[in-house]
Amino acid sequence: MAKTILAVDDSASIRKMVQYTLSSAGYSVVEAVDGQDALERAQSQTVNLVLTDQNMPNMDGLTLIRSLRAMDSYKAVPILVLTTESSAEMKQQGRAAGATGWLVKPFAPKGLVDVVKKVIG
Amino acid sequence: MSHEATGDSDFDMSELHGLFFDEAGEHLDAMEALLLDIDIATVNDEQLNAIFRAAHSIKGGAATFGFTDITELTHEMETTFDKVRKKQMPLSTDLVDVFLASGDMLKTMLAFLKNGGEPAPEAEVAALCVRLRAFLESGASVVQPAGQAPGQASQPAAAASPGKQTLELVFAPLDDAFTDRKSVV
Repeated sequence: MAKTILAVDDSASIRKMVQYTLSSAGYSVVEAVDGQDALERAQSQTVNLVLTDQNMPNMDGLTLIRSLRAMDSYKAVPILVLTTESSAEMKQQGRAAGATGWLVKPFAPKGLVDVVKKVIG
Repeated sequence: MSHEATGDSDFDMSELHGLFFDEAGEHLDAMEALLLDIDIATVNDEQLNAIFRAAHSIKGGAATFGFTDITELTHEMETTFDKVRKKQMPLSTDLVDVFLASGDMLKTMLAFLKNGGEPAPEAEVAALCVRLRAFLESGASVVQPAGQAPGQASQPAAAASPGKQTLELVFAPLDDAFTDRKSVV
């Protein structure tokens, strides 16, 4: 069965780009519009990987990561941050929150697939 | 390696671009409404963050879809306003004016991408970037010694923490020139 990726971004165009990219590579993609939406979706289904933006309304990426890591079922699920934020300070905060990796936009579709494959196969 | 995910042929880029144009237009309208409504004496964090997020979101989309000119202008806007929202620089009427002008310019750039016609005048775009950077330089001179590049203030010394490399994964950039510039700034 296809592995499921939860893609979180407040931008519809970027969500679609991520969704097309990962679906083409054989993954099943669930979209969420912000951290709050993602948290609800993560609670109601099994997700193999979370790919989240940082700066979003309602709940940002770091808060989402902390909330997921507080749940037993998400302690070991890889979480990648996909963001234009490239400062060492933000990356450090991501790491402290429990992020598995930090990916800087813009992304090349093949690069995204390669990283995802490396993380979940 | 599967070939499906590598080419653009599987993507309906025009649909994605259309989504981006719509989003960017909404962000610009929201930003303009905030800027026109703003009272510098009583501006709150929510308003500042909303203006920042508008520039930030447009930049993220523009960078993803390779609209370099929009990326560059919104990058300057974002960098300048990041200082304002972090209270490292005051909000001034001059800055509000430059943001309004930049918003108008972005609308012109988007209209050109969407419908063709007159492109945004490059010299005016460059002039806006210079004006935005000037705020940063005058603001940054307060917090760092002269001679240091202004952008360095946003890269804290914590960069050298051990183990950082195990976390950091960076994609092949769509636009090397832009990414290189960004990493230097």
